[in-house]
Amino acid sequence: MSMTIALVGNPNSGKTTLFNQLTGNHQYVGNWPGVTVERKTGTLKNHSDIEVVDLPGIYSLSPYSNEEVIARDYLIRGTADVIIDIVDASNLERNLYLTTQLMEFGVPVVVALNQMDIVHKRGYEIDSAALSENLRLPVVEISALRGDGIDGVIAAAKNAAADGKAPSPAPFSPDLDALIEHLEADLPADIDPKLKRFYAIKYLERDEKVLAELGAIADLDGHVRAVEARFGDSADAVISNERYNYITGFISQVQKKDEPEMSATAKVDRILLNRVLALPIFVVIIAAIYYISVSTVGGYATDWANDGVFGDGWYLDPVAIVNPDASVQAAYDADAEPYDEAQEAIANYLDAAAEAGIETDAVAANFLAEPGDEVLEAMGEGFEPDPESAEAQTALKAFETKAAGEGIIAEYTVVDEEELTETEYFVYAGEQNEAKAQAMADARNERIEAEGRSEAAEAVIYNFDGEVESEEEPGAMVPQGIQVAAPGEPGEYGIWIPGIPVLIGGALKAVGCVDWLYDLIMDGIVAGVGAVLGFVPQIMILFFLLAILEGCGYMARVTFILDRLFRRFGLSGKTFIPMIIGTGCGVPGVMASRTIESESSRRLTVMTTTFMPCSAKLPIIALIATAVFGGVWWVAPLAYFMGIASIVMSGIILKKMKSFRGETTPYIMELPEYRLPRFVDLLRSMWERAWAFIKKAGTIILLATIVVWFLSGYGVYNGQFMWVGEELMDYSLLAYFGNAFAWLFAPLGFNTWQAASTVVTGLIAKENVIGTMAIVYGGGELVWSAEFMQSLAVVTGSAALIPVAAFAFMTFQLLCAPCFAAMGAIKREMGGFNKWFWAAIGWECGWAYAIALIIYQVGKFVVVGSFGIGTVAAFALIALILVGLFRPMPQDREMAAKPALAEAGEAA
Amino acid sequence: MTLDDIEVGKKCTVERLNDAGEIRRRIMDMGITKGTQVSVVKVAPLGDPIDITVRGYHLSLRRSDAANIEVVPA
Repeated sequence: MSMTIALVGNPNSGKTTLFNQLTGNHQYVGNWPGVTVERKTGTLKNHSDIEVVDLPGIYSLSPYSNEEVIARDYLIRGTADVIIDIVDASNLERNLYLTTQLMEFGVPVVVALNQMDIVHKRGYEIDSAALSENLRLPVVEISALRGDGIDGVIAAAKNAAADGKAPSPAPFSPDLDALIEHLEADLPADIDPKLKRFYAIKYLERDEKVLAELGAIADLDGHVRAVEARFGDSADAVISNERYNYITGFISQVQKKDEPEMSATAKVDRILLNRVLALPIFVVIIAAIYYISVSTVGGYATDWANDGVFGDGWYLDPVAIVNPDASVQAAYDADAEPYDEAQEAIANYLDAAAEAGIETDAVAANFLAEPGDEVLEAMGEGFEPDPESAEAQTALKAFETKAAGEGIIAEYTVVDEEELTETEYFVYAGEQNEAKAQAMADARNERIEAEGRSEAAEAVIYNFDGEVESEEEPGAMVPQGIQVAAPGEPGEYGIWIPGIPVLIGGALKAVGCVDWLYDLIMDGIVAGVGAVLGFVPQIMILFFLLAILEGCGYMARVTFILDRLFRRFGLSGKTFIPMIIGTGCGVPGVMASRTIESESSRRLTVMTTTFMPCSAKLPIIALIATAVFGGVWWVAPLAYFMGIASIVMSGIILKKMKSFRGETTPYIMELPEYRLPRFVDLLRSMWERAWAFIKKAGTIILLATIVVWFLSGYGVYNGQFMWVGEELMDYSLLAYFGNAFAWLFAPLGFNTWQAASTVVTGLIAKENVIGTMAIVYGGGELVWSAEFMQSLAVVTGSAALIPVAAFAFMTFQLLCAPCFAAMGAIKREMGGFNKWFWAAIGWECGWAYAIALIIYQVGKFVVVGSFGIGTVAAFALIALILVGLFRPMPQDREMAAKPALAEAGEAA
Repeated sequence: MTLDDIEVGKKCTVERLNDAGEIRRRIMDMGITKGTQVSVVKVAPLGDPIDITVRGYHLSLRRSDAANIEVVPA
């Protein structure tokens, strides 16, 4: 038979865990009140005709926060055939309070007594038979976590539903029951007799919804007054009292509990909530989470994934984790780096010689050329490079004699992007030129010294073909230039696992893939999706740590620690939960705002939660931190700090606006017992969220990269629609599109069509920002990030402004409107595409624009001393924000009375 | 005497709840009703809110709301 089971219970009582057991679903489980904020539906395992509805946790049926409204509305509609009431046995009295309310709906109720293990651990017993007898309801002991008693609860629910008998409501004191009966008699006749007591009680409680439904009835009001006169308190207080009196009336028969000793939770709280230590511990815990997942472990993982798995390849070498200096990679680098340096010196020297009119082809073909180079074709059919051959050696000698004779010195600069240092090379050939090169290098070093750059720059000489004495081992000779032997294949050093692009590229070449498809797959899909997937390890670490934080019970404590602070900003301590969740993903972050009771604070939280950098924005931070700022440690913390500061400042500014004023946010929060999260749950939570990220990369991001690749590959050049490729990408469709609004970003310092188009593709998913950059700039990560910086230098007109513009770019990307999925969540929380939704998106974009503008313009003023309209605008914006922050709270007439009282209370 | 006057570590019994409105209703729903024994366990690092135990569990609420709960020290 088909039926519907509704799961109802207090927040944090284990409903979602039971729901997962019943349906085999993997809904998200945490340990703070309010994990489930939406109604979720599934079908019972092996019973496709039985529907199970998981409702948000509620303490009572007098709707107080939005999630409670969801639960109550569902129950009032009466679609459920049976209610399973999950009762936390370790918190029996308060959980039964809701049970007494559920008994009045006329729907059969089965009590599932959960978390008995905690009861046993605390050393007392609960007599479930006695409980059942007193409640006159079936009671089943279960452990939702371990899956014990699930069959029993299903059987009881089926029986109760088949029986269909309404529970008999909890009796109150005889006086009150008599008064309620009188009221029932005066209720409109068309009310279902089963629900009469429910309506009578709701009427006494002056429940707004019920009053609206029934309308004020003069006879009934008399009853309310009668109750209040008899009990000397307001009627709703009388009812609450009576419910608890009913429970305390039998609780001692059900649970035998001594005065509790200090529980484990209390012991932990003595430290974690210690008045002196709580704040420092909180800061350390939060900082540690992001330090581990973003900077250290997560950083290594990302480097490995980006440069190894999605780069050339990597060594299977456990030593690298413990001691990178002794790793196989280090051994390979020790051979490869001098060779790369030598190759660069040879190439530059040959260029310099060629410019002076010396023939270089024979040397280049033998010592530099790679298969496919033009210089090989110039050597004629059937030529094979062979540096050892007599011809090659003869050509080399002839070249060296000539170049040395003419005193050719090649001069060029190599920038180390990680260390941010410059090395200026002076390459010479022949001993007679060494002194000349040395003199040039010395002169350059003097100039570097004079410019005060000696920390970051150095001029050195380099021999085109020879040896120099080793600095480390005096007496030993180190080969230079042509004398440097090529390193072996990576596989000769250790277990080398080629990167995915190498494998895919090789496979495509092997099957003779056509050129355009090869380009689409390699430069479009592999580059774009690979740039995103490289962050999966990092994101998994972040999600794992967040799962620990959410599962252990600390989250509720954080709201306790921070409430005082957040209240100053017109927010509640509970605002912190959406903020933390939002660092994983903005969608659940925005949804977590539902636990906030005050409507205006909730809206404020919805508007500002996505200021926190979510996991999809991590790649943007990583790019700017490594490529632009050389991997300094402070970029990532600063990004999170900007998120927090933006939320706080928005709170202060908006709270003074009329729409957000009024009602001080209430804060009443249960502090749950600490729980050690199970490892499998942590892994599952981590994997499910990471898998969602991967799925997104395989679907929406894949699609976006293909579209971006086509748009950036095809364009109109010389009035013709054609393949423009990398050379003419400035004429691509994407360039036209980006240029259409790139001007908007001129005051922010990144008005290139490439940057403008990433803002748009970022709206589809923030991962696209990096994916799109990888496609439009092309090449490996080091290449395209350098090109990105180069393009910033061009539009800002100064290389010194690259970091400033790049930082403004990052700031805008982090703070502006989130991806469409998160916008959808905002729409749901605001109740549709209404003024609140647009206010949220408008505020986010406006704030992002203002902050990025201030960063760029003030930075520009400081770095290159330029002053213009932009600078004026920046200072005007700063002034505006300061006014918003520090102006006193405006007092309108209608608001003046109540908040003033509340604030006076706060001050006292 | 109201709940916010109770020192940390001390117990008291709830006399009545002042102030009307939703927050009062919520406080009652959470089990703070007439005659209930409450003990104050902790004060948050910034002086507010406070952590109490009521009916065997921990609840945190602000001082401004605790000030509306009249109690008799036990």
